Amino acid sequence: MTIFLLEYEPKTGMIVSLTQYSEHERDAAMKQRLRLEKANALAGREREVALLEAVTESALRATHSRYFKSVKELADAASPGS
Amino acid sequence: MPLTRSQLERLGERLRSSDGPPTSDDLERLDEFERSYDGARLAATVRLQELGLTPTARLKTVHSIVGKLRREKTALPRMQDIAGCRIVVTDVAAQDEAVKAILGAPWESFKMIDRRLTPSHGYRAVHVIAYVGGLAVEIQVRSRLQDLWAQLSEKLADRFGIEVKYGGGPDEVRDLLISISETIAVAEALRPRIAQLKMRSQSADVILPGETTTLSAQVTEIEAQMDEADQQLEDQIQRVISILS
Repeated sequence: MTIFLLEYEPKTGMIVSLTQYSEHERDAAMKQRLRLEKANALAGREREVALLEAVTESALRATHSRYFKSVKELADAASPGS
Repeated sequence: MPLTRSQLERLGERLRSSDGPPTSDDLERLDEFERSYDGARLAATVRLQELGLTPTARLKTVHSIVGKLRREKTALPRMQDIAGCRIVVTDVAAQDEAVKAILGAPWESFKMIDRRLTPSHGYRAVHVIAYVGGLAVEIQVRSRLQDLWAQLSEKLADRFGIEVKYGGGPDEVRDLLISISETIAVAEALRPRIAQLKMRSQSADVILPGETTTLSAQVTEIEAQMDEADQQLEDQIQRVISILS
């Protein structure tokens, strides 16, 4: 599994940063997550900091597509023929 | 030393009652609390992979924890979705199969919540709360269309506030989400019915007892209903795009 640390700004719908870590770097990913949460709280920024684990980035994109896709892309991906 | 239950309850109360963002100290405590779920989350992920499923595991975001504390009365130590896994499969048949496999795995205990039967403000999915080492891991199993609804509600919540996901927010947005959920429920009920009737009509295109039309005529009728549901969904998604543009 790969660990993905994703920082997302709901207001703009944009990913601010996406960093990958190996399973052996879980502690580093958790520490960075905490650092980002603290920095955002201090700056009064409304951002989501998500720590996710998936086999590949494409698996992550399949289950957490709203971070990556527009509404139209979401609808296209969910249509029966896709 | 791990946080005691009363320390966790006090932490939850501070996060709930504060108007502003959490303090650095509270973020550190929350981090420690979430880390205590690492083992359970990892074990659940491995078990799901062994079942041939492709889960994405996640820690609940601080944003979500604080939102839930402020929205509900649940105490922090009793939250059942601190650790979670999500699985998205093609359709309801694959969803049923995945859920059956999950329920058959050797969890300490589990409970299933079928939100297809009792949607939560339009949200439909099956959740299995599985216990590993005494800790709950929430496993969300969604079909692609159920996941589409959930992702749309997140997009709308980004714009109109998290309450949109829980029956709040502007009327137009709330009503639209409910109607999309209903359309998806119809589409998901019709699709397997078509497949079933087609299969039966291949062996003998008869009129079954209690029916007035042949199997193939029923297929045609349900396909028309399906087309209508697909068109309705397309129109509803256009409305989401227009609301967000």
